[in-house]
Amino acid sequence: MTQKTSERSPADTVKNLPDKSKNAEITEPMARVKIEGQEFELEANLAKDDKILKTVLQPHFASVENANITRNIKDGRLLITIVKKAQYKGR
Amino acid sequence: MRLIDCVRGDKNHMEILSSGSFINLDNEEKIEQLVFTAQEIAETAIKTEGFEANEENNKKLALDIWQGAEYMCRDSEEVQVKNIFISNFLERMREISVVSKTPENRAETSESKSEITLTNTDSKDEYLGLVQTADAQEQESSETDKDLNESSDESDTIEIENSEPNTEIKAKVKEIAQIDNSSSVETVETETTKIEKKNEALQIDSTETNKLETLQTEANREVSTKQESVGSIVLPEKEPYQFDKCTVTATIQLLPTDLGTRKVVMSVRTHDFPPQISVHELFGEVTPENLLPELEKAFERYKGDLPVKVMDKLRKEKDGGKKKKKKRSTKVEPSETSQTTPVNNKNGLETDEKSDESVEPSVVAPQTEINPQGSLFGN
Repeated sequence: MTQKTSERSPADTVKNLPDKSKNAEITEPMARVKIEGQEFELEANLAKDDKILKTVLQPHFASVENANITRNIKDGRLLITIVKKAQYKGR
Repeated sequence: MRLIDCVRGDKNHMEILSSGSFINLDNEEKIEQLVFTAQEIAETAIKTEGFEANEENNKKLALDIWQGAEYMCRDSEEVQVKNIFISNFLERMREISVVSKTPENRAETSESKSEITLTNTDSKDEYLGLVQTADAQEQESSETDKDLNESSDESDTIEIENSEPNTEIKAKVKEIAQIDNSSSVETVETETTKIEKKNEALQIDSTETNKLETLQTEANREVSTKQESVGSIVLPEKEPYQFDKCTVTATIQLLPTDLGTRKVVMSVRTHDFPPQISVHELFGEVTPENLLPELEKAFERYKGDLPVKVMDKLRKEKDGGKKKKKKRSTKVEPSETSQTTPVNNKNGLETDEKSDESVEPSVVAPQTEINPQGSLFGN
């Protein structure tokens, strides 16, 4: 399953790590996701790409649509922090 | 010029429905008004010059008037209301046409002779039986007039010419007249009986239609009551932490196929806990049968993990409460030295986090009592 970077929406301020570094450094199969004060584990394959990540989390967290997604790798485990982004006034 | 605008009903008894008015089967007054308007319009239509009272013309007129009236009805009742209007309109037209014809027939038959017979050329109506059309009646009337004139002439000539056969002729004429009268009386009687029967049939039909209407209204009411009696689902605010007694949200997401395989993302969640997400691969077509075992596994796994999640949540809440207590205790200690109420401090330390609000006023209150200005100005 491949995802094109051009398909990403311009509103997303995603800080993705390069694929090469991901494949080299990520050793744990499960990633750690932090969103809305909750933490849970998610398969790293689903957490690598923003589009898939949003698709998976959308039913439970509607705010992920326009959220800021940051990724970090710590001890071979992918850490994802999702911070919802406030919309402009009147929306 | 529209007939509806011309017709003006008797305001004392019943009013005619104006165009565009709303009619529903539940309102009996409206239905009666509708029937009254149909009858009134029929009466005026027959009175108008140049109007020929035929079945076809009557039907066409009824439909035109219905369309022009633009009565508002419910979609489910429109057909019935229309039938009521048209049926009453046509009935009234027939009644008026029959009544207008019967006295003319009597006058003709009394003067007519043996030539007046019920021929097959007369038009037959379903309800009224053998009914002579207007044209045939005119022809017959003209023929009878001619016959009368001829007979009178003949009788006069006969009397003048021969006296002996005159008596015979007179007797014969009398016999014929009697026969004609009897036949005319019979025909009139049969026609009246037929009309009466037809009226009864029409009444029966009307009663049956009324019954049908009532049944339909009752059925509609039952349906509406059934719709209203549909129960509403109410969820409690605080659901127990049991898999069978709480709301479980499960989602199935089918990702696009890739090299013949299709990934399925299943997630299960309850309360405000984070979802438990799992990914599976399916080969071939995705059917509920293929998804069911994976879904059951996800449910079972979540069911086993739910108590653990609850314990973690409770621990976090307790830890959070302890931290808040420590913070408050550090804040309270410097204020205690200025006070002479150790009892209140002990009570403040022993209270839980939920009563934090109660702790603060109990600590603040003695300050205000002893040195209110000090608390405001930080002394």
